[in-house]
Formats: sequence, structure tokens, C-alpha cells
Amino acid sequence: MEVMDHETAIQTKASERYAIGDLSSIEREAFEEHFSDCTQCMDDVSLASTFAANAKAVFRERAQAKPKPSGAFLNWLFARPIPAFAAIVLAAVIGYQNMVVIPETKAPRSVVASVTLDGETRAALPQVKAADALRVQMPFDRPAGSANGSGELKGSEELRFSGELKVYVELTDTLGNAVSKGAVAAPGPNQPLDLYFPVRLNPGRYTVVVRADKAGPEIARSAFEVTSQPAKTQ
Amino acid sequence: MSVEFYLFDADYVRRLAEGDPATDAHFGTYFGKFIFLKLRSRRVTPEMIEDVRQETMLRVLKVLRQGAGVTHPERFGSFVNSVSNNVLLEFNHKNSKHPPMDDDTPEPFDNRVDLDASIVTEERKRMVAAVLDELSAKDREILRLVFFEDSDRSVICKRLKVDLDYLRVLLHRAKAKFQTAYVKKHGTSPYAANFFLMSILGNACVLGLTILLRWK
Repeated sequence: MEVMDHETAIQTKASERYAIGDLSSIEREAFEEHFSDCTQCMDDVSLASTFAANAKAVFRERAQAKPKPSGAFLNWLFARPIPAFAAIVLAAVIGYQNMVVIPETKAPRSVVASVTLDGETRAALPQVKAADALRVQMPFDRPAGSANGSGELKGSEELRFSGELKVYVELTDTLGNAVSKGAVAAPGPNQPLDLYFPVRLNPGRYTVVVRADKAGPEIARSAFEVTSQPAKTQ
Repeated sequence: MSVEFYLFDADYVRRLAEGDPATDAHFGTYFGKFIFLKLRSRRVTPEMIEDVRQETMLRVLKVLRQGAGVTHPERFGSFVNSVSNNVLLEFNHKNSKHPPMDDDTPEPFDNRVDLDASIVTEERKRMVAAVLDELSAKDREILRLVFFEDSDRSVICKRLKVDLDYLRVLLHRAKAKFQTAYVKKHGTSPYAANFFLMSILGNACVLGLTILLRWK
């Protein structure tokens, strides 16, 4: 059997390698043969083994002491109640949107019959049932002198998107509060303005105002009435 | 009893053969520790370590006191090592239900027993923890993989982009820091206190064996 000499044992850090089982069986036996007669190396092996055993115990305890993920989450919640509450509310809103609102918007629907609005000259207003979606058609006459040679509206340059002409539409209630508003594509010549408002209205009187742009001149105006009764046939 | 630097020679062997109490005590402590370290590295159970230790010491003392003695007293440690190898081999063959294995076959490990219970203490753990906390996160992770995960060294080195020498030097420095901390607190190295119980057991074992051999 070979015997490792002291110099080799020191140079190769045989004590440390022995303590962590990093020597081959031949090296291990050669080193054992050496340190059985060398108190210095045996003390070194003893020290390395003691360190290794206690380090293993320390790492084991630290691994066991690590809090579980669920515990950490609860600790975070209790430590920060306001952000935690905000996070829960946000999660609930997102969940509701994802599970209820968005699926509803993607669900198929029947085509809504349109209500024809013909200006404010009529005594009896057109009626819409409160539960129905609101789709209206109204005449759209380009005012005299407002169209240039190409048939475009004056004063609506800021509403021209991608070459498409737009008009600004506003739906207001009896008190003049805007219920829905925005830019829509202007109809072609001699075509009615077909509007769909994705809102549910309470019973009452409402007015649709069409402008060339947001602050521009009024092009058309029509009123209608939302009732809780089935809509009367016009 | 401290096991500071001690040279084996003809005089030591003669005193041990004659039953000198101080030499008996040194023999029990030194080789009790040696056999523990040797068998720990092979993950032998504590019960078997104790059996091998007693049988080894008995055979060595028999050779010295009733037999032909040793031809190379300056290599007395090597002689005890050979005896312990034979004893371990016999115990392994006796305990095995299977045919004897080749000498090159690695010993089967028993991971159910805590081999380190005798050398792990709360105080040492605190000291080792302090040493570990002084290391960089990377070095600490290397030692965690070595000691706790028992990962393959080459895998550790590849994963953390270090070589084997770095790992050995890291362990060497950590061990040295632990020794410094221990000596600072106790005025003695941990290996001296480490084997206090083993020393008592070893001495009691040698005393018992001495009485047994004289009575025979």
C-alpha cells in the first residue's frame, strides 16, 4: 500500500478533501496510512471533519427554517394592509372583467332595430325602450356652404384620421350632461348617419348632437325619449 | 487529554506493551479518534465504529503484550491502521448476507444514521454559521452544495464557474477561520475538545482490555 508523504498531503489539501469525501479510494488509503502516524494531519482531518459536520447541520437548519411561500404571502399581507387591500380589489376587478365583462362583449347578439330620428320638428318624440341597446339613424345634410368642391366639411380637419372624414357626436340627457360622445365616420353624400351607443339609458329625454368637430358648428340635432314601456310603433 | 504532536518510536511501543497508564491513555485517545475519522469517511454506523475500535485495540494490545510485537515501531500508526482495515473487512463480511466483494468495491453507505452527532454542538454551529456569513454569497453557495446537497464536485465547479482548487482553498480558509474563532474563545483547538468523550471511552476501553489480557 502506498503512503502519502506529508508535503503531498499539505500541497493537495488532502485533509479537506478527505473530510468531504473528495479523494479516490487509493488516495484515501494512502492518506490514512500517512495520518495514522502524523498527528498534525490527523488534527487537520479532525478539524475539517468538525467544520464539515457543523456546516452541514447549519445549512440543514437554514433550509428547514425557510418560510413556506404561502406563509410569506400572508406575512406580506398582514404587514402592509393598505397595499394588500388595494391589490385584492385590483385582482377582483381584473377577475370580474376577465370572467364576466370581456366574455359578454365577445358573445353573439341580435341586431338591434334602429330608431329613425328626424330632427326636432316633430311634436311626438321617437321612443326607445330602456332595456334596448341604442341604435339611431338620423338625416345628415351637409349645410349649404360648408362643403368645398370635394364634398368635405370645413372646420373638421382635426377629425380627419387616415384620410377618413369624421364628425363629432354627443348624446346628452335632459340636463345637458354628456352620456356618450366621440368621433364617428361621417356618412357619404345622401346617406343617413347611423349611430350605435353602447350604453343602457334610464327613462327620460335625450338629445343627439352632431358637430363638424368637438368645438365646431352644430350640423344636426335630434331628440328621443327612453321609456320603461315597450317602444311605440312610429 | 490533548493529542498534540507525538512521535511513535520503540520507547512508546515498549511503554504501551508494559501497560504504562499515560501511554495507554494516549493510545486510546489517539487511535479512537483515528478509527472514528477513518470509518466516518466510509459512513459506517456509530455502533460498528465502536465495535471496530474495540476489536482493533484488543488485537493491537494482544500483539504487543502476548505476541511478537511490531517490527517497525516508528510506523506504529500504520500498523494500527492495517489491523483496523482487517477488522473492518471481517466485520463487513460477517454482516453481509452476500458473497464477499472485491476490495475495490466502494462500501455501501447508510444514510439513515447521523454519523456527526458526536461532533456537532450548538456552539460550533454558531461559530460555523458566523464563518459562513462572512463569505460571499457565491462561496457560501459552493459550500452549501458541497456539504448540504452533497452535489458532485465537478457539477458544482461547472455550475458556479470555479475550479476544484478554488473549492479546496475555499474550504481550507473557512476551516482556518473556524479554528481561529474556536481558539479565540476556548484557547484550544476544537479537535482537542472534539474527542473528549472518545478519549474517555478509548481510555476505558484500553483499561478494560489491559485487565482482560492480564487476567487471561
